Amino acid sequence: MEFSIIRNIIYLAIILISCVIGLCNFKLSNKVFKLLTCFSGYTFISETIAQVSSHVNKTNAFVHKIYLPVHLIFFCSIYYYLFQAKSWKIRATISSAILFVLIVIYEKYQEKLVLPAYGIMLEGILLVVFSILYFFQLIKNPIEGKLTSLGEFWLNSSVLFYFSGTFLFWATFNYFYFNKLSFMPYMMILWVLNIIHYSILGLSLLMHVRGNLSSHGKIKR
Amino acid sequence: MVKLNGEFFIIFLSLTIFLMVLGLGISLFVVYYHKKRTEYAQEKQAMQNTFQREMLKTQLETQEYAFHQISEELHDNVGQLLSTTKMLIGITERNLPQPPDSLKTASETLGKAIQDLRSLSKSLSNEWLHQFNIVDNLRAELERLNTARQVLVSFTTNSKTLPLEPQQQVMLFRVMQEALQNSIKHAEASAIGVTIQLADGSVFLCLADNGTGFNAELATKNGLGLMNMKHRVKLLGGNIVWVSNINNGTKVEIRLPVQKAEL
Repeated sequence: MEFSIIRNIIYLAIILISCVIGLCNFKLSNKVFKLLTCFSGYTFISETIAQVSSHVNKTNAFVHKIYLPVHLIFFCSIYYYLFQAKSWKIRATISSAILFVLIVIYEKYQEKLVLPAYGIMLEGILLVVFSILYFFQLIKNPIEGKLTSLGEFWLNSSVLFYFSGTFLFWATFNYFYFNKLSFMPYMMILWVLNIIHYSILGLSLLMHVRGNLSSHGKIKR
Repeated sequence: MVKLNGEFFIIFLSLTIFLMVLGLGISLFVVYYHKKRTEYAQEKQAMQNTFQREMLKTQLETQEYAFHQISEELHDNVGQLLSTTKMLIGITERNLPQPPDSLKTASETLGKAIQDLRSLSKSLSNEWLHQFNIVDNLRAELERLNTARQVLVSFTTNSKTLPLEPQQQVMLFRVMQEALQNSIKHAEASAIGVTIQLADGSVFLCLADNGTGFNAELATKNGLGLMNMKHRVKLLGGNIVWVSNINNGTKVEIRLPVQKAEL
């Protein structure tokens, strides 16, 4: 079996495990983690189609073009529920709506077989800002429990890591692509980033449920 | 290929450095967050303590007001009625050529009742609480126990007064009363030593008995009375420790911080 296939199977398996963790405890979860579970499921389906498509059609750009705006909606909804201040919620909604429109227009006028790299980068910037804002909110309103046992902390850390990384990745990707350089080792970085991201998302789902169970089986938030 | 390796290395290095910076940022966040959370917890604790102190103060004020009302009622109403009755008995006694012994006994009993009522009225009055002195009251309490010959009690102190508010002294007195009751009732002690020391910016109170002792670790977690004592001392900003072993007596140590200027 080819290394790329093994790599993809590992990647899909991690997403599936995250999704299963979320689904097993769906009733115990709050809106944020319910959305995260749905997002994991959505990602699993999209990535499976993308993998199959890249083998059959030699392209999966169309999957990413559909995936990206929905991905943005999922994460903006997650941060909408994570933010406590009403003003932050409104700002997050407005900025996400503007970005959504921009991405849709950008994708419409983009070539069909090209990945929406600029859209991904723009989304990355927005989510990194949201992530920093959430950390700021945590400092302003500390929680009583341990920070590392807070699912939201892991989710937010993962968002910060992943979207900063992907921004840098896509910012330098075009150079490799247009210079027709071999970027396979370079793709490994994205794979590692993805693996770390979805593993931490799974961990955040697990931490959230454990936190709920330890508080006498009641939902805290 | 060399070119690619060089470029790839630079990009990989940049990514690694960037992610390391991010990791460092998150680590710094965690450290700062813990600091903030500790401050927040301390603030919350201080607020809770203030609230509890205020609650206790209000309770004491309400109690004090109720006691004062009872005191006035006893003195002005019941006391007057008893005095009138005693006066009437006296008149009757004088009018009778041969007053019966039972009338004399009734008069004497009534006189004692009036005296007891007056002391009770005095102890419930407002003034008593405002001028409360734990050293004097504790000494009186111990003398009362000695007189009752229930237990042999000794008392030592290096100060006539303590630099605490009267209400704080009342709280402390109640704690000491509870400790004394525990030594007599539960530990069945035959000798008790009470010490009050004022030094080094703190007040130290110690009660030691030769009673049966108890498992201090277990009892302080489950015993309602001991928890109540602990709570009261905590509200005063001090700490209380029980040193005890089965059949080896008990030592209750209370340490309260006081302002040096007050010493």
